[in-house]
Amino acid sequence: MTSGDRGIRGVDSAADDFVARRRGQASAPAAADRPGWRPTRALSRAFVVIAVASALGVLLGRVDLVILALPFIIGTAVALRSRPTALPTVTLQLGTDVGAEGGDVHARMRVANPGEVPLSTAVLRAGVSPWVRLRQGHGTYAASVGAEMGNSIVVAGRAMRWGAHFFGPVLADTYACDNLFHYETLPAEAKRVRTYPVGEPFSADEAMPRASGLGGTHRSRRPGEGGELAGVRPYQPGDRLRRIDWRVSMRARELYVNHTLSDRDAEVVLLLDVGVDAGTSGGVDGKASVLDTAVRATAAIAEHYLHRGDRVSCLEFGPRVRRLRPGTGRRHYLSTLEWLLGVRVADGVSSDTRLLRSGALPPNALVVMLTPLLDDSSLSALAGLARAGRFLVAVDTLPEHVRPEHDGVWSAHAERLWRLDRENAIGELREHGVPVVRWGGAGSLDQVLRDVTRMSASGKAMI
Amino acid sequence: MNDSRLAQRYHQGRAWLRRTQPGAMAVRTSVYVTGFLAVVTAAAPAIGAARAAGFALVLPILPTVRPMKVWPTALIVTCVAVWALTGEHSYALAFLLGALLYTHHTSAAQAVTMRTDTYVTPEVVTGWARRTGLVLLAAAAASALVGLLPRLFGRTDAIAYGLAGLAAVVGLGGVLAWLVFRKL
Repeated sequence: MTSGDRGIRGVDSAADDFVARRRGQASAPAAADRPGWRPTRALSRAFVVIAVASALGVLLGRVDLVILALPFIIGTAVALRSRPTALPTVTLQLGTDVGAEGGDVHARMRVANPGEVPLSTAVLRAGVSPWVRLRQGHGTYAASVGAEMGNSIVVAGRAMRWGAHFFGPVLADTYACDNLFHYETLPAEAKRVRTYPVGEPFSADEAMPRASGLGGTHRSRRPGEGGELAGVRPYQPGDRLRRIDWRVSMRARELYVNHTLSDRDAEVVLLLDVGVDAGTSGGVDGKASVLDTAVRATAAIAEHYLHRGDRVSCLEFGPRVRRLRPGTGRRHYLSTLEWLLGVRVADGVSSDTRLLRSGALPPNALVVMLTPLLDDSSLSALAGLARAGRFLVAVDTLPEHVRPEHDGVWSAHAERLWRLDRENAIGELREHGVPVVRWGGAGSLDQVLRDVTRMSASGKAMI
Repeated sequence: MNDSRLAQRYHQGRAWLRRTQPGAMAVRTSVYVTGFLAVVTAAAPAIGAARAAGFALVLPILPTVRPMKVWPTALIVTCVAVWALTGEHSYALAFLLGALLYTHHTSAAQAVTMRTDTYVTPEVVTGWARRTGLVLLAAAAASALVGLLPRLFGRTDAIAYGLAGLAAVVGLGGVLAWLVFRKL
């Protein structure tokens, strides 16, 4: 299996790489190391040709050689009649720095020429994330700029995958005097385009196994102010008058009040297994890798529960315990999307004990673990959580198209063995009371949530 | 080279071809075509048109592929040297060769500024073509003037011509040096 994570890179390091690479290719040193315009090889060439042809013409007494050199003499003299002094600058402006997968990205690169000599060519080179597909060109654009003017190039593209993509830095190689002088501007800083994941819409009809916090949409077992009728009971001092059930009171000849259960919100912990990735990401229109599936599913599940008023927190299961605090509402949904931009595959040992000790898993929370079920640490974490009596659902994020590479006669048999072993492991998890379901978008968790709710009613230890 | 490496090269080639942009490729084509025609024009009087065309097919490849290196200079100087060694030619042919070499020189200078996948706005190419065209027009007028000089003053005084030419070259060198190194 090949790693599919090539989209998420540090913006700064990627930008630095780009500048270093570009400058490594250039024959001239960086702009910061030299003050201004430098003659190009073309100017040397023109002088060499003029000198050789003229000298031969004079030495051999040949007028035709002088005529041959005339275009070079006139062209060079005309080009050099005014030399550039002012230094051009380049700026980069993004249309918007937030978008969704598949959405448009616009950037405006502008070269300003404060000098009186026009720029015959200004070549703008923009470092662009591989996940931004440009509609025109491949990140390098050439334009001419008049004297004391500016010229802008508007680049449009499409963000093909979730993540924090970079646009820039932009380097401008400017040429004046018919490309006889060159100046490389200081780079315009890279900008970050935050691209949020877009998943299949998710919905689940089932109630949560345990509601916890005050306020929300789920029925709790505790009496209190709520919409769910639990019964009627005799009036007690302190009861609100609007709770009086007049029909029952008339019949019983004493005051009765409606007894309701309080509405509570539930807490959902979305646990992302980031220990391993598999499959190659094809972007928003292509095939999904494990990480793509996990991130898009997390976004969809979080949106669903946050819309219902529940509290959602996110947690990475990997060598580091990266966590998003629980929260609710639209603002928290945006925080969740922002948090997801930082999800990446982390090498190292994952530990379920550290997970349980971290305090990030409240006892009554529904834990939805999104995992490809590919390594032992994930399996043992699931088993450990089930043993600890957590309300747990495992979502299988291994895409169906992901297969090991076949490079030998035994590969097919090895794959079959591997699949059988994985099915065995999933079967064992189910025996331990961990419902495992393949991610399938809307309604895909309904059945397992129903099971978890039913089992939670009979006590934690039975799960 | 095994099959996988060949396949890799093939895919790299296809990817490169997909990325090429018409404007940048037009400039590269100009480098090659002017180089080809210049070699044919310079070498045909010496070795015949067919053999010259054979050389001309090969020689401009390096200036086209690596215009940032010394290859365009080498091609131009070679053409001038071959032209000088094969005796005096007509002024019209000399101007034609000069025009071809100058266009080769400017298109190589333009090609240096851009990679083959650079998206080139039309103003860059039209501006380059306009500047080159104007220079060639001025050069044509100047060539006609230079060609007329011997008729005006006769062809007898070779020493005087030599001295005048030497003075012109020195003066020209001085002017160009001043244009480059003057303080602004």
